[in-house]
Amino acid sequence: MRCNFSIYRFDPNIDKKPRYQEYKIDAEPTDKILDCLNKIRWEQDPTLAYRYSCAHGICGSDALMINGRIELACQKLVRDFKTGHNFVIEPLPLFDVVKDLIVDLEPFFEKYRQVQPYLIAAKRKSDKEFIQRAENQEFIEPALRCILCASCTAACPINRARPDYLGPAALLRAFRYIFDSRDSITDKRLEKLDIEDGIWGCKTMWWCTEVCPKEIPITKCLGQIKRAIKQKEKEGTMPEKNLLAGFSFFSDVDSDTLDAISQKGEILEFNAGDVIFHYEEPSTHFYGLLEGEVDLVLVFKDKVLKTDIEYEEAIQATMVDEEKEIIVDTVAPGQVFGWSSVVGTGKRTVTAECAEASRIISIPAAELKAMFDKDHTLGYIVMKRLSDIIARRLRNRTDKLIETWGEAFDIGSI
Amino acid sequence: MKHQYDVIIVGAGLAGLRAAVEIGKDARVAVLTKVFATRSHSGAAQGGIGAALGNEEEDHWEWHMFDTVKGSDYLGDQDAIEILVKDAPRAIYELENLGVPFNRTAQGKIAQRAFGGHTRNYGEAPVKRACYAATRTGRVILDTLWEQSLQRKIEFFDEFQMLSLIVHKGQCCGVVAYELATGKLHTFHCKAILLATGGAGKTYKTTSNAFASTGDGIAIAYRAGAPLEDMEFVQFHPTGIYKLGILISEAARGEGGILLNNDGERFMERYAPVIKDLAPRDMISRCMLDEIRAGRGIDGKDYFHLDLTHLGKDVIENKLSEITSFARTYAGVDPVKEPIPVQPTCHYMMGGIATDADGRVIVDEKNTPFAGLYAAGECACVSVHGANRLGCNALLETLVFGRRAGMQIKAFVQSVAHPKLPAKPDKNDADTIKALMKSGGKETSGAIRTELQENMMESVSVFRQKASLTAALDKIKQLQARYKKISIQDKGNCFNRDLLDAIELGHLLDLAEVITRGAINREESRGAHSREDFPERDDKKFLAHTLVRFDKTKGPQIFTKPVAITRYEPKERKY
Repeated sequence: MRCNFSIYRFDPNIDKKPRYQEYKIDAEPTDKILDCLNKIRWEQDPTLAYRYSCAHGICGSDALMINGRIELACQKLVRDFKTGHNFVIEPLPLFDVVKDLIVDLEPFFEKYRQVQPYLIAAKRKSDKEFIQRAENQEFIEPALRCILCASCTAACPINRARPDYLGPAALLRAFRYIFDSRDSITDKRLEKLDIEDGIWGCKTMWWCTEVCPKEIPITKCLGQIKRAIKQKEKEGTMPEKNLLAGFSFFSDVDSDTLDAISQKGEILEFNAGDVIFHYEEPSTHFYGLLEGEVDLVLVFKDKVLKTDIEYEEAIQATMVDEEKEIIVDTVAPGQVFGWSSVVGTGKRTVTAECAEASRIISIPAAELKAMFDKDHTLGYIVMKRLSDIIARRLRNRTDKLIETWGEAFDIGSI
Repeated sequence: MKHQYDVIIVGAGLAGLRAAVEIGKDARVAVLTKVFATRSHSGAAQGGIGAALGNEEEDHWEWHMFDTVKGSDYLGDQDAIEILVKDAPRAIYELENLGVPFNRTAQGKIAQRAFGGHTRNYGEAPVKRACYAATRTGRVILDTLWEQSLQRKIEFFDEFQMLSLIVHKGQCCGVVAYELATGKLHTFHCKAILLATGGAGKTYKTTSNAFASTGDGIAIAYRAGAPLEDMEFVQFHPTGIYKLGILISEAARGEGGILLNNDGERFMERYAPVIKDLAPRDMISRCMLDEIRAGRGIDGKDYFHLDLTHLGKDVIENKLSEITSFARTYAGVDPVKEPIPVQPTCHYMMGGIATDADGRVIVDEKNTPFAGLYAAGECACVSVHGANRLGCNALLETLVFGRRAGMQIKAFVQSVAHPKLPAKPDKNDADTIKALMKSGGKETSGAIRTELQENMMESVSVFRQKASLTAALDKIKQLQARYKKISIQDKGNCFNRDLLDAIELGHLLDLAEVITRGAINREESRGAHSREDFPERDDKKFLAHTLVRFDKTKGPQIFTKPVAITRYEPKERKY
């Protein structure tokens, strides 16, 4: 039968922006979508780029968006779709496009590497196999079906909102080792995941389970990790954790140094609407958000910006020095703020206001700086992370600026 | 771009990764792979890995050895087979200790099941020898070894296509590779190269193999002067899904599944009264074609029914879960309720780059090593499979000989300095690619590949005879001539599949020629090589390995090497 394919095309070396290209092919109802892509490439357009290898759902190369849903192109047949003969093929969301349907999965594998995805067994005398109960092997069996196609992570909305969240695939791998009776560092594994960017990033939205082409009950497996941590806390066997342990900002800092930093900190509690510090106040403390949400607000004194927003029709005539607030960044638990206490002029560049009731760890900046002076490696690690934050702030601010200009002028004519 | 390492491993399947793990931090090692490591075709291996652990019932390495020798139709080298089967239990325990999640017995030991050609007491009855993880055995071992490589911080060059070996004064001293994402050429200078690039199932139209299985390493070694051994022996697995070739593991029959013809007859009882549906693969594939010729294929067509319905939902959905999902997805049948339509599918290359038992590539019948060049896994021929491989011996081979190659390489690179690189080592490849990209020829790789695959399927598959083999060779020569007029329509540098297809096709054409020449030369029937014009095995003339070496002036040269026979003299092969 005649099928219409609309395929996402983008070559960053040539194209300014993505486009959709139309193809018509004859396909059998039993053809895989991958067969259709091959047909297009072999018979019509050899420049179309996508990954594939085994063509029967084992190698994990060809996860794509097919008609708006994440699927393996080799595991879906034409007859499986009730969309007539029309197909829209797009790359996996979340990841950067390298070319057409090929995305950069390095960030995906980077998170996978973070969960120590290998057995760490205690030394023993036997040179034969570990004795493992069949039930134990069956318990972790669903996770063994994972083919690293990245469908789950691409589908998870938390991953989009929270770039440092480990994501379902990496957590599923952690599940596989946590519950493998042969592994000897179960407590350490649980402790490492007991953070917002770890297992608590999962808000049980089920998207991972919904899209998994190997039908792995991922959400349930992740639930087992949560249950194990809660059980340990109940028993009091969960080691007391460093308050800063879950902060990706400090992820490259060794645990002894991190203990030393958090010992200098003080826990503060705020209500919604409270201001933690004001714009242009002297910066004395560096903060980490433990719970709640904090808005970082930029106070504009710039006349042009001011008039742009409030007096659209009479720009020149109405310049006044009124202050206007714009939220430039929102801080989530596990993130830091107040960097001007460590670098720069020593004055606050924004106002920090609690969007909801918040718990904060406050660290005296002078003591932190003294630590950097003594330990240059620590200083370098922190400065490297800080520069990321500053760059992001700058980008946000530029975006806001362009947005604001765009409202006032025909931006194309500037 | 230039890189220097002690060791370059090409291919990130089980053989390559096992060697990488062995070498670890003892030398500077990098792994090049044309697909991301975990996409390697080893991951598609389903049923199991053989070792005489005796966890389920009595078993001995001598029985495993006899089965392997007999399965090979006495063409396997018995010294190498002895190494393989004796080392098997250690290799399995090692994998388990590294984390491979094997299925378990009620006592918590590694579970084992029956498989084709595995017998107790030298052929008396089937024996449970295959260690497994559901029907995902290859996948879980691949994951485990990859993760072990991550722990050891092995460097990977993912999505790099090897183009050629750099050979200078008889010494292999590097690799030229093409980076898929950028189109750049990279030169890797090293002391030792291990080829672990897998098989070449894509030479045939119907195959269980991945698109990536195009025999790159075998063809590149051949072009560099390394002889290929026993390439005429190509395994057709009896149970590929009808029309698609997707594999339904032998484990389905190991768990009790049976093959039925159009009369509903369990026809293997007639051909192999003792082990029936667990006869070796070459034999069942031949029996199927005989049944088709007698008009007993299903509905008179060229397929049969693999019936699992009597095994019950629990066994089918748990122990055979992966193949159950294949049958449901691709064949549209539910194995719990109805039989799966199956036919033989090209599955495995018994032949490959000739090596000794330590992974050293050899250049002649006296086992003289090719300095600096090693091979392991399906791309190599040790030879432990001879004329027909037993199920569960392929994974075992990758681990045993991948490790041995790793140990050999480790010792070698510690004893020598980097050899000298010739001037402009990547010039040939740069010129070839430039010429391909500029060519205004009218041919496309797609058309030539399709004709090649159909030609091989038609004339060089299960049954062979002189006239059709000779015609097939003529056709291959024509296709090779047309290949020179190929043009590349994608002019870009980023993931240019059009160019890669052409490069891979060049490899397939070379290998098709070697397979066909070997098949013409071997005027007997042995294992997977079945000549209708010479239906008997002829030990007087052909109990020898075929070696084909490419001579730059004279072309392919055929010579032979004796088979190592240590324990079991050739006998008639009956099951």
